[in-house]
Amino acid sequence: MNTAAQRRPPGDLMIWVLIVLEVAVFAAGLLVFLAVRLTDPAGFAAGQDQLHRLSAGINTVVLVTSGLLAALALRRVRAGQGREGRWFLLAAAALGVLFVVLKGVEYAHAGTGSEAFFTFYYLLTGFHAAHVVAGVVILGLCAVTLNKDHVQAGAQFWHMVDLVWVILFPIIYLLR
Amino acid sequence: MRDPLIRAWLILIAASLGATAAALSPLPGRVAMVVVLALAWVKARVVLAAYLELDETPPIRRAFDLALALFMALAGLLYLIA
Repeated sequence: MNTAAQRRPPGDLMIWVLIVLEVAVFAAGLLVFLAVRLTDPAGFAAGQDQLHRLSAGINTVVLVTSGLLAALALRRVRAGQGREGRWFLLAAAALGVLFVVLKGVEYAHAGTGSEAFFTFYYLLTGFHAAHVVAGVVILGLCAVTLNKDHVQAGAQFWHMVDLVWVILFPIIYLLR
Repeated sequence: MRDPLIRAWLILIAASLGATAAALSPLPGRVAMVVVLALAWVKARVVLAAYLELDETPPIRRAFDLALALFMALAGLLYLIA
């Protein structure tokens, strides 16, 4: 039999409402992207060929590593090792900054092609990058307060950003 | 590797490399698509289970797994009919 604790996700329920809503919005956006692709598969393939896949691949490693650091930060804070936790949070935020810089480089070198493809590309990856920027600010604030509940919510927001990227990356960059 | 967080990170890195290799390989498009979407599902499951700690709440983790599987199936279907 499940206990009450096993029936509730870890952390504040509201952060889970946010996670579900955010993931649903991105999932809907990606399904619309794939549906619009039906009207111009060749144009979408040509647009994908203009993307900097290596930069996006490096960004995947950067973001999942940042997620690991955020999870380790929460573990340290829970164990009462706030000082170590702060360094993990700052390192996670620094990798978030690196993600945004690499995204900027990718945008600077993005080619031209199918208008529909690039509209969705900038909309979906730009909206995600905005969440990364918000996450960096949140992680920075958590590093200041080191409040256990704040750090848990901040890390969960960061993992949501990670979760969206691991779904978005293959569909936008890899599916041809 | 005993630490579940480090293990999760290694799986995420390996799955990301595997998906990229499959997409860039000479595999037929449909086969590559199945590999890429299956690995995306695995990565999402790992983030939810290990990073977001849903391993502690198996019923909720299973609900997320199912929703993500349905999303991947729908994405695959849209890819196939293009």
